[in-house]
Amino acid sequence: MAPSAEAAGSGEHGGGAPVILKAAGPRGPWEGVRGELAHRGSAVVTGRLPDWRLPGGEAALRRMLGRDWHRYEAMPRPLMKERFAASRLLLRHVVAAAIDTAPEQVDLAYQPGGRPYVRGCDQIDVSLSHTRETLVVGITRRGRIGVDVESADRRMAGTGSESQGCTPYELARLDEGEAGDRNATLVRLWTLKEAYSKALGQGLRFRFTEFGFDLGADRIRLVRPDGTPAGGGEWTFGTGVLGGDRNGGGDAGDAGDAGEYVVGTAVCDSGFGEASDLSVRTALDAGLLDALLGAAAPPAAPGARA
Amino acid sequence: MGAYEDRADALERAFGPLDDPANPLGREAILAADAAGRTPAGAEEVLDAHRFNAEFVPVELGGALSRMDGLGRVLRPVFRRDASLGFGYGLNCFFAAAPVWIGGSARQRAEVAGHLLEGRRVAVVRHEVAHGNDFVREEFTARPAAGGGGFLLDGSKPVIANASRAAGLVVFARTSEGGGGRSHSVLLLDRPGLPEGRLTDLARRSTNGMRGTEFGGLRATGCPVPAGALVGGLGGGYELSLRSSLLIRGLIPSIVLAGADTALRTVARFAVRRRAGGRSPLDVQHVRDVLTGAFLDLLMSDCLALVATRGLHLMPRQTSAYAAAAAYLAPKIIAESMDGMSAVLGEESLARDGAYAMFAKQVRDLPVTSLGHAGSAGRQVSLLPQLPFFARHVWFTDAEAPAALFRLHGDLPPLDPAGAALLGDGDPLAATLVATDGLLGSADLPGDVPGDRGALGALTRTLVAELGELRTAFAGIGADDRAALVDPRSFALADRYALVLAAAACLGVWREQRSGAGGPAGAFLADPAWPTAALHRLCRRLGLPLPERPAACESRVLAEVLARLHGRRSYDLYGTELA
Repeated sequence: MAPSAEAAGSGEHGGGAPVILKAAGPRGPWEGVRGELAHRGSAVVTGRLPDWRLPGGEAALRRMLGRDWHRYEAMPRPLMKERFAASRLLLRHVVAAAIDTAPEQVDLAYQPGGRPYVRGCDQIDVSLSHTRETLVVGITRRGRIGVDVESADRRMAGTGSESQGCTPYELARLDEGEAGDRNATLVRLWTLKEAYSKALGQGLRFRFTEFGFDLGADRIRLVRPDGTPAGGGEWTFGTGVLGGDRNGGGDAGDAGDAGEYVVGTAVCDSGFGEASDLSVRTALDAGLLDALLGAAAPPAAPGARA
Repeated sequence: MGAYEDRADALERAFGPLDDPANPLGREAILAADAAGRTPAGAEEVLDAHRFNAEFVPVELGGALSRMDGLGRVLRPVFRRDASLGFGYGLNCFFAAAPVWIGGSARQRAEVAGHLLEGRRVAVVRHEVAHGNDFVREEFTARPAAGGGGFLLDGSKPVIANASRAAGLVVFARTSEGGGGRSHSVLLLDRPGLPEGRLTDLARRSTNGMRGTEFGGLRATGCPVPAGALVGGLGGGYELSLRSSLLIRGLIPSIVLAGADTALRTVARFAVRRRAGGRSPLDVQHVRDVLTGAFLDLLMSDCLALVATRGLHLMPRQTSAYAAAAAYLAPKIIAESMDGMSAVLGEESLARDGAYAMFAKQVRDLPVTSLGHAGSAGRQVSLLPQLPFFARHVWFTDAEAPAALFRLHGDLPPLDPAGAALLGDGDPLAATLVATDGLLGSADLPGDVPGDRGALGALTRTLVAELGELRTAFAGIGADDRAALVDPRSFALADRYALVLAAAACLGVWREQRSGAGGPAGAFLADPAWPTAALHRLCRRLGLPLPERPAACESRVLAEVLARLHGRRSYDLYGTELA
């Protein structure tokens, strides 16, 4: 895995936003994810749908998906099933690399609003997005993360997305800008809005006209609909461009996959500082555990109770 | 409990209405102080006048602390307004004092009681823990002083609440190089009595949440400490840490639900406004769902608080798991509902002033009250090693918890801070779940409400099956098999167990209310609507196959949210009158 050249541009837009890593398949390598988590605190990993099919048929998939299996089974369309399985597989591998375990050991769960999380392991937070054949996983140890991926050629300028997805401030800035950049800017804004809303576990429920972004040259800032600052210094936003798959190896994607993708990320720092050890194996403090098991050995049998 | 209720009410009235612009301790004053990184002017004087510090001192030492459920209640009026105030003035002093109440000599206990009762602060300097963050990073070491007796203290600690203003310091210091459970000891320091220059303040750290609390740091440089400073025995630090946690954890739900009470009230007030055209946000099903869910999360958290605090009095040998589960789960589920409420508020969730800005403050403060992952990891240490024993010997065979555990009022046996067991020898709360399943299947305890026939019984049965799965999973793990305990599956199973306990606690409270305890929230709590909706929410969190949504039950819960908004009553089990 290597940072994709195109995504290096995210640094310009996003300041401390994560770089985008490409994952070629389940065999990794995963040093990049661990390195980014240790160094920056967050990582964004993309994969292609054809690279994330689990060999071994339904039995293997059922074991891997755990409680997600019932959801998978109930899905009506094959493509939906394939995306669901592939995205969970990628997510499980990224998480496993981060917390030092095996992908099938990860218990993926969902909050009542639908946001995925790793049950019992709150040293990390994750987010998932996909469009066409492109999968994107965000992972952070800083607090919370949201990611969104959209086709760069998604038609937004001149459509209802402008009025339904933008604040008055954003529309004014769009009008000031070059007409030729309008669609690209709209796609960036959209991915940022989805990323922020997903970081809050809200999908599209956070009304997009009620918060906006100032796409400043040095830093992307969350702003209120009129463009005034919304505070939120704990948030870091970024967008990056992901190349298409024209040169992307063996499997040919569908025609749409030849284009570029825009990835938006939103990371919220909870303010607890650096904590680079994410391994599940070291999560229980050895001294406390020694004291607990030594000082008060569990009773041998229930009959011993007085 | 009457005395506690009266004290909580007196504090509530003394602070006055949050939403009154003319109140010097109202919303505007609190937000302005928070922005300036201090507590509201005059607020500590109100707490002084009400002897709030005495709440943290056991009655036998001249304080007012006689029961833990009462302490959880008296915290709420303060934490509904400003977590920084409640934490900095009082609760953090209790965290610091707990090791001394548990393991200190009579002289040490009197010393700490003296500090608190005379209005001075006591701070705690914790040991480092695995997966620590800045709030629990680095630690002090204490080596024996040359010439017999006492220690020399060295090291620094970056984030200590009340670091610079505390007169008493409770320090968890490393006293032995080796690993194992006896490498640390607790020392009680009288700061004014220390030689000049040996213990110095580090810079205050600014935090995004709880901005009004001073998080400073301390550095010790060959600081001499007398032998009499040792609390408990040499090497007893970790055990005192675990025992203190057991005492403290039951209070965590109370402080997070108090902040979330204000958040929910803020959002509910937003949702009931009529806009032009007569429509209101409340017309949207999702908005109704968020308000309903948030209140259910507060009720679940309060049920866990009740069990974890009353358990210390009623069944001290079985409460360790409940205390850990309460502190583990309440901040998590409440953080989730805060996110849902953010989306309802929309633009107003970003407001730093105005009618809805209290919401953003509660969102900022919440993570700091629960310490994030480091907090969870500490609670998992206490929880996980108990589960293999429960699976082999206890689940499905134990007797259910006494009815008194679930009572909102009513007397309790005296508190023995040192008496609780770190590892439980039974799980009566899980047994309450199993027993309720049996009762709901019989004619004795109808769980039906119009429109949701049999839903409570079906959900209870689903959760009993989940407990059965937990038994199967943990029966194969030895209690001291550390490799198996640190498997991510075990962490996930412990999370599931905490959710099962939350359901059991809700059922226990509901059953006890049916026997007619009354109170301002009595009729609502005796209705099966809320436990049905709560269990449905818990089953969804568990990823279990769900029966149809109990829509009528959810409507009943939402009606209570609105009734308490208009009637100015608290969003917890007690439904107390607000100022």
